[in-house]
Amino acid sequence: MSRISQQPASSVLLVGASLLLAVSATTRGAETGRTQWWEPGENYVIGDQIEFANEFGRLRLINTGEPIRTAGHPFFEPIGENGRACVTCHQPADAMSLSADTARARWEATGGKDPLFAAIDGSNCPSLPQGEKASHSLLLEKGLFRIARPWPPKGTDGSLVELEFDLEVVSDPTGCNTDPEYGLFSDSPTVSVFRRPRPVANMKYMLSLPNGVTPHEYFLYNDKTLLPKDPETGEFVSVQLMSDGRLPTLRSQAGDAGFMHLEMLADLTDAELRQIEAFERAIYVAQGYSNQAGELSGPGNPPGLGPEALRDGPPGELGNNPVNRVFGTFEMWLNPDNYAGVRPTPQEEFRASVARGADVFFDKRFFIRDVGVYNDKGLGNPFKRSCASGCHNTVLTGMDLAPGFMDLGLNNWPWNKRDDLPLFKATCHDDAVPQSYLGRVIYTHDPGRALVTGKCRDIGASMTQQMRGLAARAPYFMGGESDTLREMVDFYDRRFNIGYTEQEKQDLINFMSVL
Amino acid sequence: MLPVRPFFSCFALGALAVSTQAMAQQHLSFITCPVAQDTGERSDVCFFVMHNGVRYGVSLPIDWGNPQLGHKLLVEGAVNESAQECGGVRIEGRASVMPELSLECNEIAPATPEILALELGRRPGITQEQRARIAADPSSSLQVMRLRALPVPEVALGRTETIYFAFERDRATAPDAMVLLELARLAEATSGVQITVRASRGATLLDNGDILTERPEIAEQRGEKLVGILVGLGAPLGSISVETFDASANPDGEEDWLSRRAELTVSAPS
Repeated sequence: MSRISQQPASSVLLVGASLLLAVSATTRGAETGRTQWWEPGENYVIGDQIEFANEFGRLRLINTGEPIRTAGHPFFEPIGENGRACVTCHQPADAMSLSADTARARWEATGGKDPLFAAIDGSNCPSLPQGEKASHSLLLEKGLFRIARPWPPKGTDGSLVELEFDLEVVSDPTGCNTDPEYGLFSDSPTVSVFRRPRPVANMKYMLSLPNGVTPHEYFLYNDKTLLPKDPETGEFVSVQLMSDGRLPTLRSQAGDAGFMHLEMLADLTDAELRQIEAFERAIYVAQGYSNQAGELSGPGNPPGLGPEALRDGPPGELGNNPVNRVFGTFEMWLNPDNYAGVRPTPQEEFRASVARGADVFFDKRFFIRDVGVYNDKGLGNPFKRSCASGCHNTVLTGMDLAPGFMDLGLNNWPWNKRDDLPLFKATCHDDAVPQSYLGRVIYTHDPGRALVTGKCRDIGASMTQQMRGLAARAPYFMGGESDTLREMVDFYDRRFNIGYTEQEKQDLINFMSVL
Repeated sequence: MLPVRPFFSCFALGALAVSTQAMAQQHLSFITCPVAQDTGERSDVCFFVMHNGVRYGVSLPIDWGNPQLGHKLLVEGAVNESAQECGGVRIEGRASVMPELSLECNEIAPATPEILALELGRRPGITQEQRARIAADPSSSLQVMRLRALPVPEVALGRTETIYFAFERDRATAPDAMVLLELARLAEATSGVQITVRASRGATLLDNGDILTERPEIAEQRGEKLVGILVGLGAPLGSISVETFDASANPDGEEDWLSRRAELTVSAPS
């Protein structure tokens, strides 16, 4: 019996002929760590919970709503022209994101014919020969999808955004920004950038306004402009949902994604939008089982682990205090009672490493310096904090509650230089407030938030992401810079000159692997 | 990142050796590079400036905006010899991060034994009581722990509230944002309300005789931003009149930061 089959029989309900297929996929995944693909249009019923194997153990998805029958459900049905569904790029096994491993497996399984590789954004540019693997290299190697943004930027109502900078294409390895049909000088001038899909789960944490930090449930922290409002309700909304904050609600994001990624020809109906939103609000994902630490939820374990903690936890709370420590205590793993005079088991050693990693995450301070839209929002440059007390402070999910648009250095030179991504030269106008640490001439692989606001100071800025389900959804960061957790830790170490020891790095990796 | 109050209110530190050159109530206005002072492994940095051989720290309001390496700092205020900031003589006033890059501003002063001895910039750790509670019930480590709330300001019909700005900036502080919230609520609850927003452009006389004047558009920019905020918070759009004025004439080097401001008045019909 596989570990997966120890789950309650009701946890994965499958319908009719799909039953055998899905059970075998899940079991195979548990044993081999291979992907467990959910095809658009397949017929499942998602009960209380379901688990998926990954390199580090098993991801657990729990459903707080009624059982969800995927057949006929607009999240799971191919409702556009290209055969994709929402689930294509938000796979349950990949923490409702999509790993590069999964993309590669789909290429191998289908010879590149899966709708995942749709020309519109599953290739480096629609104008490239779609049958060639090289035309999909960014998706296959980094899990990146093409995001086409109008240039100059437009508001959600279609109005032009006042622009503070000019943009030139310096290099264009995908060819799309200089393409006569899809590029900056086409009839519909477009900037193509390449981004990872964000996890569509744990949504109450993404959508809740910050609590207890008035006035910041009304104001953005950085420039004290107002947060956006839900166009339907008129209520203020968080901007945590998307990496550039361009759409503030699940409904607006779903509608936009339907056209942009699924190539729908007509709007989603209200009923479909309600179904999608209800599903997205009902599910929580986190690593549920660690190959080395064992079961992660339940008595005796850190209270912040497992998706149940997310289901039960308080959204929108600032956790960078010595009690919350963002993910709660790990103290019971740091010094287990049976350590006294007894050699710890491998499981106990691993758990102690996780607990040390939690301490490094919360306690080890370093100079956070020259981070655009961060150090300049009042904090000072440098700002000396830890990962947790600096940017990853939201209880149980680790985004920046502020919310945190920032240029960590991932999108802009000199901190990160990529050969596989387009490179733009942004020249800010003389009357614009310059980017705080790069000035008025900025080389960027992705202008990020500035493609929404048009502001020079926002060039390269993006929103911090939640830290849950990391084991299931490499590569990391918006542009997929880090293929592994180790590469992610190394990036931070290099960027901020932290000086982590090898032991601290491994402890951090182990810590993140159980989130 | 959201602030952890009250440690955010200023880059305050205790005293180091304080020069007697600084005179009580002496007004200073100068531009220089800030220096970041490391205060130890477990504590925040603070910032100081050197001016005419004297080390100064500037006491700033909550969320005003701390100095930044990579940028020069405009320091304006009155010297208070009886208090210290960041190991220097306290200046009570404002400090403004200059927008353009100044890469020569790049110094982080190491935490010396003298600085460490002052135990500066430290944040409270977990208490024994909290630790015991978590040990008994680990789930209590996820209980909601909120910051002390900013005080809710009292606003009144007919009274003018004033917001001050850093040089060339239109960013209000968090306490100012609280004022805007209350003004918008007051306006929303007042029938026939009239709101006036008067926003200025300022100037500063530096100690070296130079005059630093804000760009002409800044007053309008401040006014428009405040109107947008008030309307977004519920104030009736048609009730707001906005005007700009030039407060940049005749800076005198004493509290010139007061010239960079917006005045807001919510009134009931007479």
